[in-house]
Amino acid sequence: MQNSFEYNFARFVHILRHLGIKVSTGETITALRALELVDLLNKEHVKAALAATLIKNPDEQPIFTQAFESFFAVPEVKQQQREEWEEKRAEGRRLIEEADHDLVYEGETLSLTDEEKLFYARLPEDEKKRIKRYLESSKLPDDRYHSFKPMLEYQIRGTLRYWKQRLGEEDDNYYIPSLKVDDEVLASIIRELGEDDSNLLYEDMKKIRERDLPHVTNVLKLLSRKLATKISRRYRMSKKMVKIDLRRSIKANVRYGGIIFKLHYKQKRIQKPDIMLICDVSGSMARYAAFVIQFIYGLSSVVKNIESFIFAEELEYVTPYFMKIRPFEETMMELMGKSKIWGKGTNFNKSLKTLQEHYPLLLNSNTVVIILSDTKTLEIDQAAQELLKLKKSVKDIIWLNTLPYNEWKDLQSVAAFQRHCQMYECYTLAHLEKIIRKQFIH
Amino acid sequence: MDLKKLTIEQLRTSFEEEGYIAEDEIVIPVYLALRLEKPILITGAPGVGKTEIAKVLARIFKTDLIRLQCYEGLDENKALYEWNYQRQLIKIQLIKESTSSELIEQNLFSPAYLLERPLLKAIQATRKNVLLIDEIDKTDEEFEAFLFEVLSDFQVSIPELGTIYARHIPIVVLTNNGERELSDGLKRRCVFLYIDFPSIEKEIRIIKTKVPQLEARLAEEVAGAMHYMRHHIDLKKKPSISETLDFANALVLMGAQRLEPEHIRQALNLLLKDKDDIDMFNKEVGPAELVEIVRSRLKR
Repeated sequence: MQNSFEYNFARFVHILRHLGIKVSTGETITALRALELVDLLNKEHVKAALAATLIKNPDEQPIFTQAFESFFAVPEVKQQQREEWEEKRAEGRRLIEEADHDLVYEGETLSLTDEEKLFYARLPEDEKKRIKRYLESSKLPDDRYHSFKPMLEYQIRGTLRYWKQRLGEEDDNYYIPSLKVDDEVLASIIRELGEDDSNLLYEDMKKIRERDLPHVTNVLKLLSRKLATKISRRYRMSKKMVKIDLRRSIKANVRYGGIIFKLHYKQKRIQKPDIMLICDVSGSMARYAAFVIQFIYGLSSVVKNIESFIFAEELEYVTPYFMKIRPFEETMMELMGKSKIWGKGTNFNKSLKTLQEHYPLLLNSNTVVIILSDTKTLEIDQAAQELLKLKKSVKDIIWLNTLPYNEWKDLQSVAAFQRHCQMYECYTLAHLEKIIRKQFIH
Repeated sequence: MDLKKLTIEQLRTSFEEEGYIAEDEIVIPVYLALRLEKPILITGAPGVGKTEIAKVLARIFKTDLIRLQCYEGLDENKALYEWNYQRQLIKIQLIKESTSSELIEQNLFSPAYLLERPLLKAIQATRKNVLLIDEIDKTDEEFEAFLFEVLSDFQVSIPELGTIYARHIPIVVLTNNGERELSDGLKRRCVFLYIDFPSIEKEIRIIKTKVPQLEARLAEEVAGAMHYMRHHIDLKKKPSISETLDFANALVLMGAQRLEPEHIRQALNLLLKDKDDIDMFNKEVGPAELVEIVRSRLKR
């Protein structure tokens, strides 16, 4: 069964789905029919036939190519994939066992997730010793044991989260390999995609390198154009001839003796939304600086009437920087040099107040506000109130959050702001692409 | 040419005979779309040769090309059919007093009063034709939904006349400039083809085929210059193949033997269609430097 053509084909489709490419059953059947029409011994023909039937988006091309090359690799390469994968899994298991051995309270292992254990195993030795000492010294009388253990687990989890954030921001290589991937081909594709320099779509934008900037700028420009088109389209009234303009029809048909010969229709006026961009440039967002400016740069170059602001502990109006036609690097240098708030602390509340007090004319029922921020700010409750006030005076608020989705639950600010806007995870170009693809403006 | 006996090689040769240089990545999706009788959705930047594929197919199969140019606000009336209201009114005026009302109504909603728009024309055609739905991304989403209904069954229901089935399933080519994301429903029904800007070698072949009067050396320089402009200058609208060919034709008219800065300066408006892009080009590279870069690359 495992060597049958259908089984292998279904597995390939399954891998594509795992990698985020939507492949329906109908498309799978079409692909199978397509394979009947090409020479199965010609790899390039098979690849072209599968690409034509299974992927429907140019952005999916690099993933498809990588998946195809890994899946249809020669047996030696497959064997190597398998060995590497087995090695990785064994290493993961060893690290988890090590953590199980260390993270013990009163002879009983703490209940932490595999991911947390893996992270613990990769901590600096000093820090591991400190945690172990803390666990050993935490002795309580027997009757309080059961209520104390969950508290201890909670504390350890908090410590791990702190280290994850700290190490994650300082050292890009500190991310742990996931054990969730249960397929050697998939693991190999993910590794190859990660190593592929040209595949910036899936790269965390805080890791963006200077030499990649021009490429990212181009991708962002393209995405910005799509976003701008989508926003304007969504709000356009249909031009369909639905309502007859009787007055104009009668007037135009007087010459035909009153018979309504030529119809005139009422057309609703097309109104494009005004886009307002508010980007966080505070210290916690510093590593996303290039992404933020490129986003404004990209959007400004395709949407004519866009108003841009940056904020940290105050709000700054930056539209004029993006009005001149010049290379991205120049814009970035000037903006970073002249801004008084770049890299400072965050006060979203104060910034929103400034926006509403000083720029009321920019806020109207036709304005779509796009906020790019990690939500980390002082005065969360007041900021949420200000956001609510802003929501009432504009058409819509879209929040692009640079924090990974699985961290949202740990932050009070996310919960507070999420109530008043549509919030999306957005720290890679692929996220931005996905957001744009979705119907996110109601 | 019989579609059922068509081979990939035959199709490639036919494309080349019609002056369209196509590699496996283009020929195979087109071949599959023809054999599977599915619409082909072609995506790519403007000017890379998307629409040309439909025209070439019409020439290869010696059939009609029916074109539906999409735009925002396009609706069923413009795409499918419309009753000829004026003609119906005249008829009513003429036979008002002589015939029974039931008969008038029957006559008024007959095919004679139907204005066929491109989709209906393609479905009702007496032989297989090529239906080009150009720039589908310019339409509204509701029209797209309507369209994929038509494309999945190749039948149309006209309330007054009943259902009309396609006599021959047309060869459907949809083009998309990627300005808007198309719905999954439409994409799922099509064979997908993405046409990227060509490699230098392919572009040289295209120039030689389309503008044979151009010197071989000059064709290489033009292709090199285009490649550089697309990949190294931050342009809003990159020059595509159609711009390359316009430029090549202009060089022939200018009697050029080698690419000189003056040629680029004089024909820059053919390559770049946006003032910001022209400014960016002059600021970043300029004609003289571009020529120098191209020549030094060709020497290597």
